[in-house]
Amino acid sequence: MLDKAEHAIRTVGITKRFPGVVANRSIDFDLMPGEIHGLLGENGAGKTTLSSILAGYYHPDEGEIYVRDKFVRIRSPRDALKLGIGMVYQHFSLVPRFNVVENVLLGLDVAGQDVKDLKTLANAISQRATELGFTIDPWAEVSELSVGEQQRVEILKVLFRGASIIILDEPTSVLAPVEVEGLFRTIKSLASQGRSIVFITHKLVEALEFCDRITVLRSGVKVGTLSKSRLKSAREVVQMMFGAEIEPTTAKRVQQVGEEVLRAEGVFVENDLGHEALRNVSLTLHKGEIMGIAGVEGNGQKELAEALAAIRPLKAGRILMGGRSVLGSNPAQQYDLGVAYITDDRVGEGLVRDLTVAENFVLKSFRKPPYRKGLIIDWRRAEKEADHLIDEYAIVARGPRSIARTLSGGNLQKLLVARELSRRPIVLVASQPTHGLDARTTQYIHQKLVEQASQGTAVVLISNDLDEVFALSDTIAVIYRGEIIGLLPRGHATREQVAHLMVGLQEESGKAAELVQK
Amino acid sequence: MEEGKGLSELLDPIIIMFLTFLFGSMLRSATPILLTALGETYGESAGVLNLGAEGMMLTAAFAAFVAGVTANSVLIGVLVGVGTGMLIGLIVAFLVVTLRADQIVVGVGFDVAAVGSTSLGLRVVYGTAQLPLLPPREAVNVAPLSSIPIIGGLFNQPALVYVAILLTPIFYYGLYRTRFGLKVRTLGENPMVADTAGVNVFLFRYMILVLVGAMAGLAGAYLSLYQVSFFRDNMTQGRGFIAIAVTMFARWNPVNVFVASLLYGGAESLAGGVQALGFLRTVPNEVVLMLPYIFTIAGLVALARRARIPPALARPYRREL
Amino acid sequence: MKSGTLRGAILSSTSVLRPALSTVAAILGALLAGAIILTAIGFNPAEVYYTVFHEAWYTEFGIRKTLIETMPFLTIVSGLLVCFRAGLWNVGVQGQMIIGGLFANIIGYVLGPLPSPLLIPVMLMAGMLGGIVWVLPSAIMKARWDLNEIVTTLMMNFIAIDLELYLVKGPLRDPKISTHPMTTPVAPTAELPNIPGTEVHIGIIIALALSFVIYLLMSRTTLGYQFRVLGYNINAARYAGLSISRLIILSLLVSGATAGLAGAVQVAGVMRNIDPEWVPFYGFEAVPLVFLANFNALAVIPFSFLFSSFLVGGDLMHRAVGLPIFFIDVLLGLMLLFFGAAEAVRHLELRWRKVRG
Repeated sequence: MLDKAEHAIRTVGITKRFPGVVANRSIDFDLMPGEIHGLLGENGAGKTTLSSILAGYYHPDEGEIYVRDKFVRIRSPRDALKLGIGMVYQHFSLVPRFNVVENVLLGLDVAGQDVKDLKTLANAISQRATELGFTIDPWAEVSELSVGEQQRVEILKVLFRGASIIILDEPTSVLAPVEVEGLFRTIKSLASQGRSIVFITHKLVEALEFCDRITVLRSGVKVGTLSKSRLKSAREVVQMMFGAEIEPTTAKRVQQVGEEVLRAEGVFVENDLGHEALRNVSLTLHKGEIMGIAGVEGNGQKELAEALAAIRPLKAGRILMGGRSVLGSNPAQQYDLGVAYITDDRVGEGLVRDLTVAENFVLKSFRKPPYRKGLIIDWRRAEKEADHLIDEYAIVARGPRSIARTLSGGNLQKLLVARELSRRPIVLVASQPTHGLDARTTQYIHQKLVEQASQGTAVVLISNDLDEVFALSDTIAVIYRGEIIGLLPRGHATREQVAHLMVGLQEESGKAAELVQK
Repeated sequence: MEEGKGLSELLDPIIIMFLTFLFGSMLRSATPILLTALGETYGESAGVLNLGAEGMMLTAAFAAFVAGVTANSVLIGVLVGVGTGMLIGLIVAFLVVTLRADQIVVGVGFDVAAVGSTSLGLRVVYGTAQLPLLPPREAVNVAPLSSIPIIGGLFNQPALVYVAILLTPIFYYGLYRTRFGLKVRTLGENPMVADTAGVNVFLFRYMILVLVGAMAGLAGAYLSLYQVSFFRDNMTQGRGFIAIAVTMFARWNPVNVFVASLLYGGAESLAGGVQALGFLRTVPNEVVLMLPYIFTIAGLVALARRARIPPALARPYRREL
Repeated sequence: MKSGTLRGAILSSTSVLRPALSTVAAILGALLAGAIILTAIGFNPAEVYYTVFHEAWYTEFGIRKTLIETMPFLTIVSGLLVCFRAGLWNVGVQGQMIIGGLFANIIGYVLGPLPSPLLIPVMLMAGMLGGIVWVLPSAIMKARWDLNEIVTTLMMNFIAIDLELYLVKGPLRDPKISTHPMTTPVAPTAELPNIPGTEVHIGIIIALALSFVIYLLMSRTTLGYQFRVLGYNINAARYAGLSISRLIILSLLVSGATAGLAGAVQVAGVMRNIDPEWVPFYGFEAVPLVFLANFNALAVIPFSFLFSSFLVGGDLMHRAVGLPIFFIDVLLGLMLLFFGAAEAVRHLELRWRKVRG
């Protein structure tokens, strides 16, 4: 049983900066013993940063932390472990090749909870699992366990380390609905034992159902804390998460939507871990149409973009362009067929930072004229074009010959966008195209996207940013847990509706949530 | 008739003696590879690819020899060899773990520098004169066993051979049955998991590299003090790299490393044995000399294809943004 | 970083120059450390360094030998930088050179009756083929099974040395020479002519031409571009749809071919036949040169010349001053280590500066 401290954890003025962004800005947060406290917010709101600070993985630039009302300095995960703070990471902190016992064993000595031998531990694991209402084979290799079971191992790990404060980062994002039930039972049971739980999620339903209190973060700032008993409606929370004012929609160009250029039928796709990421997705893209796909990150957007760009193979279903299936094509072929893809991972895969701007510019187009003349690449031409684009997009670089590494993140993104748009594609898949950019650049890129659409390109805009989706799209779809759960023409959609769909609340969207296929 | 029967009685013991000799030679040839590779299993399991093993062995071989003749004690030679390896391991750790320099550049750099400095050192210290002699090194006699007729010779080996054999189960146990070993392996699988479990990733990798250096140093000392009793230019002849390859196709398991090293030793001693006994005159000497290297490649192809490399191998660790 | 400000301008330009700084730091650091070592073992560094260059450049014999020795270095290093750039570490160039030399020797003898202008190119191509054949197994093992190419090329290296012993003492042995096993020499028409007016054979011209070709390959062709993308960011290579296994094999074949070519030129230009223990000095030593020249095919030219000067001058200095030639290896190894450290510091500093904003 925990002692009668006032607060299990209290933070005062936590601020954390990363290059180019303030992830947490002066956050005051508190957690009571035995409480389940939801930490809610969009992607990038700062939830994971805050909890990583509590778990010792990051250091705050400013601010103080009090554990059980005592001032502490958490300098590393070691310190956090000793303080009884345990974190269950979204992507699991397990070694797949080790078995359950070995995974749980790691870290026990640091947390002061060591055991004599593996067999004792194995028995203890089985016992504890039963107490919590599930069974697990302690000698099973983790890679062979289901995702739900793996998560239970994570929780066991944290428990065995003697954690009295448990942070769960988006725990349900990888679970099937049935498994979610089991998880919640476990959490409730833990809380009733006196442990304090921080429950990070972007899914409002869950937060409302299981948390005693909810703290909402937005853009690194704490917007407010509400206790469930005082909550009147979900609407209040949605407004806190996405912004109170519903902005007037900018008048858009008159769109002229033409014939179909791409059709996805019943597409199923797996992610890197082998789990289903897209479930029975069907989409139709038309010439000149901008389809905005709204959703909180982690619901299958990346896999959708990769499937369209032929980087990720389809498990089932097909994609047709101009009536012909593009099954089995590779990214290069796809590009030649006219599908451009602005990846959300600009430095990891979109660009080669050690090459020059001009060299990055031809990454997809170097195989064909005009940039290719026989065996050679026409660098003069490439540089001229690159130079032209540098001016056009106001990219801050010393010239087409400067190394991409010297460009800031925003300018790299501009380069990426410039490259993909330069070919006048038939289909443009834009994944988080304005992520991390300043207002002016964002506006410029929006302009460009609209321009492309006016010239006949079918644009798929995948974005976490609701404003962006509303400003640009002709049609809005919402992706949630790998499925397209709402498809609305722009005229019929309100931000509120879409916001609700994004967090899984379908009840409040009213009749407009019916799937409307054009 | 009588003669024939007598001959066949004589042949058997000769063959057994030959095999005993061969097996003993196998053990002796395998020892330097085994020692280095044992260290490498820990290193690679922790995510550090030590391409400088060759350089460590060579430098240690030289230092051990010089120390051995100067102090007229083989024991001191061995200790100096180990110490040299550990020192190099420490420097590599600084470059690779703290500065996060490229592991390949650092490894090859040490290898090249080692060739130069040891050969240079040899000439500086001894000039063109005859190399001084080491004190006699007695083989360690495992008393009761070595008196067994014919195969007794097997139990009369230099001390370090026994050390290598004994270290094998110790290293195996350490890597797979202790908390320490678990942490080491976690480092190679996913350093972040180790970090969040409270392991000091940097300190650990430093320690491991010093251990790797110590083992390579021991192997080097064995080369110049026991396998032969002098130092010669580039005397490691690629053994450091062979040890790395052995570690890979033994899938980082010390017991497999033992078997693989033995097979390697077999290839090498077979080459020597064939040359000495003039067996199989149809097979040219030189082709037999190639055996160890062919064997290494074959081993890689046969066994390392589907081997899962520790995912964090050769990647410096930093806390992700 | 705003390029409008002066600070931005300096930062942007120096970040291009920075790698060169690492090289300079590496060389200076190594020379300094080398000087300390020299002093410790009783030599005068100034005297040593001076003698090296004097012997290499200011004596007729020296400069001639330096130029001749530059050729194999330059050729090998040019090829290596192609595969290194693609992220592949071929360290078995010594063996590839030997096999190339053997192939060239055989052709030079068997096709002896052919006239020079025909024979020599064929010989050189045979050399390249030899190098290709020898690196091919490693290339395939890497492309198909991701087997570490450092280990496989090195093993092939040692196999080549033993194979050479066998072939030269056996099937390729010249029956006319009874004292010492050597291969049958190539026909007189197979000798490389000298540069008119000098006693230096045209191998150096071939090497320079090759350097230039490789420079063009890497900087101008689609293939060179793909190699660079692969080496810098394999994820981007996949995102762009490049054929990764094809690139792996091709880059290794190029480095094998150049090593074989170097062997062929040695046979045609210098040796005429092969000693069973011919083990060219250029193996591992070529690796640091690629880094120091920052993978630039034109920069390797002065570096190769410099290194050749060190070697030749060192050898001659050895007779004058008594310092063993292995000191050069020490310098080279130190250069690589200092280079690695300097690059690491540079990257750390870049990150540090980025965080500060």
